[in-house]
Amino acid sequence: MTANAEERILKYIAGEKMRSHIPSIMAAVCLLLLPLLISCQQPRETQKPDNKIQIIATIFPIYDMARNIGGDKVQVTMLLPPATDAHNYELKPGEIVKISKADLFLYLNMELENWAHKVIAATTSGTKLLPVETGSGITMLPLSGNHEHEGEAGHHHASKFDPHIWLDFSNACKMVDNIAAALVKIDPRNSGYYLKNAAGYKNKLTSLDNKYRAELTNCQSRTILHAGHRAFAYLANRYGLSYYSAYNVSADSEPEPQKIMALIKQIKDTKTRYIYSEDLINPRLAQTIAKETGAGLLKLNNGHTVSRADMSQGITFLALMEENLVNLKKGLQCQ
Amino acid sequence: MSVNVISVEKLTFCFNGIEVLQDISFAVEKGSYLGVAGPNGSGKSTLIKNILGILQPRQGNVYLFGQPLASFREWNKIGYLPQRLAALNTHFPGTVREIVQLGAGRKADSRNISRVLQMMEIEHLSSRPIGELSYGQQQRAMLARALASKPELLIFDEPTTALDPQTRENFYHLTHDLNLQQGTTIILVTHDTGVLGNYARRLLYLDKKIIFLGTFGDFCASAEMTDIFGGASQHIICHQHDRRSA
Amino acid sequence: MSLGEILSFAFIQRAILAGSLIAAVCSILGVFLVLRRMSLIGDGLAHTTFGSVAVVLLLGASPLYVTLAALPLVLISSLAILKLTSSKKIFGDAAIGVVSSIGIAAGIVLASLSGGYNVDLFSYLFGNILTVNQTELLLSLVVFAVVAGSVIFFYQDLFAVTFDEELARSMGIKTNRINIILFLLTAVAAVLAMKVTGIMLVSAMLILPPLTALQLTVSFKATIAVSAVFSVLSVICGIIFSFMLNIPAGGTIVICNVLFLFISFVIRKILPAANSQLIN
Repeated sequence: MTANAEERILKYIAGEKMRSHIPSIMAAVCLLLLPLLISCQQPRETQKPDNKIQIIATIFPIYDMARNIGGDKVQVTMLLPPATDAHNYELKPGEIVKISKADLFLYLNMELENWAHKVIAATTSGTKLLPVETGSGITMLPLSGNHEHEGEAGHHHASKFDPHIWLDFSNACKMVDNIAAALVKIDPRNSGYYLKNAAGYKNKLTSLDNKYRAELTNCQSRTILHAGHRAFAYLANRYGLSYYSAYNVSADSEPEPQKIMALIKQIKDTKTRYIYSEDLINPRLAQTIAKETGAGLLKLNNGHTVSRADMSQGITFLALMEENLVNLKKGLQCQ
Repeated sequence: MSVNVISVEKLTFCFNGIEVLQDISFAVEKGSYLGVAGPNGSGKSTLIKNILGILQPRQGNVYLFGQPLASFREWNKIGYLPQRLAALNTHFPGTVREIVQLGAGRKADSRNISRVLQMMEIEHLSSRPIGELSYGQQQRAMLARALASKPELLIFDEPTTALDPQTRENFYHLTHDLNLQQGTTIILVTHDTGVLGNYARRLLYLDKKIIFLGTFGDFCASAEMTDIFGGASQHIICHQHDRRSA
Repeated sequence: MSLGEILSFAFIQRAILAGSLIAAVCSILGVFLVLRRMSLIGDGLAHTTFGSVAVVLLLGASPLYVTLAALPLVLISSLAILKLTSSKKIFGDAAIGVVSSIGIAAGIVLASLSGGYNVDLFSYLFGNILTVNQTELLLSLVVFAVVAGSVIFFYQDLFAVTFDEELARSMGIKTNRINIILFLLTAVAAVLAMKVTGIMLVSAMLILPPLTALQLTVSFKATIAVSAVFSVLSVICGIIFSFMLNIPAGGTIVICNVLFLFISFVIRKILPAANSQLIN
């Protein structure tokens, strides 16, 4: 290579090196400015109208109870959107902020909302938020021993207990007490109001409980066959019914084949006329079983979550339970 | 009056913005034997691919058997032996018979295929996967494929690189016979000047543009060709050519 | 429970029938895909199906018709992959990756927009062949007929394009059209395969049976036939074993496919003499 050519190549390379500083300097400046730009964004101010107590409830039963107990002194929002499962809910960042600005955060317990402890840790330091475990003091039923424990994908840890405690109305009453106590704690001036509302709601629960007991005594079948996930154990227990479900906890994985078989067999053997499907979960399995056995399909709503349509029509927990009773009477063929 | 089997008008082809073929125009008469030569990268294979519709030219027209390329349908009149295909190096699940049958198209006639396999002396291999054959056997199979539809035009792209001399000789002997006895038009792309001298009667010398197009007589008399090939090579080619036609 | 007992249930018969039809479709198309080094297209399309199903559920489609509703988006994605593949700057496998990422990301975002991971969406990840209904069985039959018919009608062209695309073009074959047909059919197969093994394992349905066949066969026709046979056998064995062992049907079907592949490897190794002429 000639000396001339070599020189030119070296100059060329040197020139490249000089120029290449500029882009990296610009990049460094941008990176430094970025946090400033982001933090300059004003956080959205949520309206706090009328000085009402702000309550955020996770699932529908708690939401409905809080509405009834708090009356016009509270503003309750349901955290989970309609038709969502709390078992594996992914909390959005904006929602954590929303929770931290509220007065009460009502959740069931660590079994159902296993992400709750993270939220509580993030939102209670430096804020006035009071987290309330509405299921506190209520014993949970374990998931049955003879069902294999499923480990579902996507869960942070698998629960060993059945969380649907509110379907036993005596448990629901205890939840009402817990909510009322929390309201009394943060707003003692209106404690009379809250306690009166709570008592009224508990009365309604009790009379519903009596109605269930009366109307489910004389039934041709005493087994609830449910092509859905295990939610009605508490209810079945309370009224002396047997309960058999196709899935154990959550319907997001395939049902165990032998379970489907067993369910079909049982339906055929007992000549069951109706089986139950879940309201908001894909009814495929229920339909398949119904088709196979010639049984009719009836819906049972476990109250955990409701459809968008029902929400906008102002459905209440008690109304849902009344619907359930109608379907139970029909399906179990009660007098 | 001879019909032009191929007619190329003002063909230009670009690849990645670079002109690989510039303003190519020529015609091939029925029954001729055209050799296409040129240095590496001169666009020989590219030209063939443009003629066969494998690549789309930027400009220009191609006519096959008098019809424009876009509306040409009688593809079984053409037999094409491409440069070495990648699939031949692998365990592609295709028997020799299946590959050769491709050449005959939808009207594949089993006896015809057998005949062509026999002709190429590979009928005993017809159930073997094509990837398992030796290089020479694979070339024969691909040639069988090209011949399967009894084409009127055969196009060979570097068909004998890496073949042993005897196989090579056999190959060209066959093409020679096809050309003279059956009237098959042959286009041979190669940079093997010895072969060109021995068999082709017309020569197209390409280096992005047409450098030379004409008979061998013209070739030998051309001063330009002397510049390119060098006097000695040109002499060898012409000598071989003369010796053959003598 | 006995084999006879298992097979006496109508829903299992439907599952086996629909599963077999879908498996055959996937394994036949898979031969062309595997040989053209587009094996991962099944994965790509499956991920797109995830996104499409999320869109469809967000728009409130009844769960029974999600399969049909998700189809258009997946068809478009397959053409997008084809278009990207032909770009010189993006290689085939990367093109699949691009479309695949969009599909999953869209699915995740849409799922959260519709309020948390919809339980329905999750069930599409793992398949639900045991709950296939009459409509879906009919759909499988129609798709099988269309795919089989297309492969037979375009056989020479498909074979040529798979062997060497340029050679095919030199024969006057409209390779673009053939590619489009192949990709669209694959998209349909992928959406149906979601039913059998779930989105996670759609790829398996497309590539495992062809790979098994390739160990044993020599001719192209035999490869297609053997591929279909193994895929159907895997569905039948898979469903039966899933009942006997009480494990998910979708995963069991894929495990059977893998077992057959493994066995074919072994056969190939221990029969060196007949190696080149096993099945013709």
